[in-house]
Amino acid sequence: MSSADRQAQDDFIAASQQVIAGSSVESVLAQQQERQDELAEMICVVEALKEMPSPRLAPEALARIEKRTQLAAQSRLPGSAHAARSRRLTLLRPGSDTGSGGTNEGHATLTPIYLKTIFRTKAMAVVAVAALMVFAIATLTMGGLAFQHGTPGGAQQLESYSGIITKIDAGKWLLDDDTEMVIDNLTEIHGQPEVGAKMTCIAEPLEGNERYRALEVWILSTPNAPTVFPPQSHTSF
Amino acid sequence: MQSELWLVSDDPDRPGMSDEALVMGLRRGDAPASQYVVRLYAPALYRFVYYQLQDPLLAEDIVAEVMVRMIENIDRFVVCQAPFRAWLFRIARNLISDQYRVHKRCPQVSLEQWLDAEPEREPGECDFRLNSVLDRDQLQSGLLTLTREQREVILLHVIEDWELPEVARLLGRSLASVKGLYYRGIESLRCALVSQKQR
Repeated sequence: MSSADRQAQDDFIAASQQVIAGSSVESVLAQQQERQDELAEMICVVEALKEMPSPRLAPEALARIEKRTQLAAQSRLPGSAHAARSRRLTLLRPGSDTGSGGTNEGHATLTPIYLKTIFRTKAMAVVAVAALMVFAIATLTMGGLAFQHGTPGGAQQLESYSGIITKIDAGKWLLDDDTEMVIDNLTEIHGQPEVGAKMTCIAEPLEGNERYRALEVWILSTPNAPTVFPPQSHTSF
Repeated sequence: MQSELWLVSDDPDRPGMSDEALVMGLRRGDAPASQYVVRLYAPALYRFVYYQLQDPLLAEDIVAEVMVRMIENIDRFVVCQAPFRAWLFRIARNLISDQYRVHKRCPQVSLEQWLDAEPEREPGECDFRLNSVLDRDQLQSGLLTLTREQREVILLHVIEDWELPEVARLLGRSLASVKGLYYRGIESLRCALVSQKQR
């Protein structure tokens, strides 16, 4: 890029930043007498973009996002499977929770200091640590399996799904002709479900392809319901 | 940390809560902390995703997924390395890239295609600088004629008020490169809009 081009670029960026900050196009261009013609149209484009009505999240869409986030956050609370896993991993981390204050060096940092008070020989401590590690790995593995299969104690793996209801049977809906959504007495349904309606939901995956159990369902009567645009207005420049 | 603290400042212009305090709350699983993040950042993330994918339902899904991934990975977030906001937008960018890959959908269209599809709406208005009138659809369509990175720079800088150095960090580019993307992006958009007006 030539120095003249770079200067033009820098002048444009300085001018556009003033427009973004709220200055009028006229006042900004008045400061750029030499490049006024060159910059005018580009600055007007920036102003038009700045004033362009933006798509907005509808309150119900925001509520859905909040709900899903809250469900994910709950898995971090003490006592949940995630929190338990985090605690176990923390205990396995070398040098953590030892209270050594950095005075131990080398191998000593890998051996928690409290073990030294219990086990008199290094061999006993090593055997004990190895046994603890085997136990911890076994516990983590079982926890992982429980998590994968959704057994009690495992954190729920939730997904959101949007689609069109193509069939309604007792206890299950077919979405987009290929996804089965199990509806049970715990499913919370907002709106009136009907074939052809667009819906979005929070669901947990079940075994098998494209199978879910719905936890909460929102029926969207119109395809663009979640997006609310302000009234169409024209931007002149 | 009292729960009320999270709720005193829902206004994105007055964030009020430091990244450190926010991240600590999220790590503890505080419900008010996650609610605060959603209310503060979901609208901007939604705009960012919507302008790139042009699908309201998909944009909503992606914003929800950004929040879930944020919660799941909050232990990995290092406060000093990047602003929390930039981290959220990085997750969003990755999810948008996934959409481009999986569905082979990239909303970028050529200027020629766009001009063919959008006949001139207001005959007689050829002087772009003095009299032209643009509506949201024209600008949105014009944005689609840009490259992905040009569009991202413009959206973040002009619509979301990010400083260019922050945009550069998000995109992993130098400041000079981002300035170039911004300048060329606005110039391309201007050309697209002028061409449309003159047809």
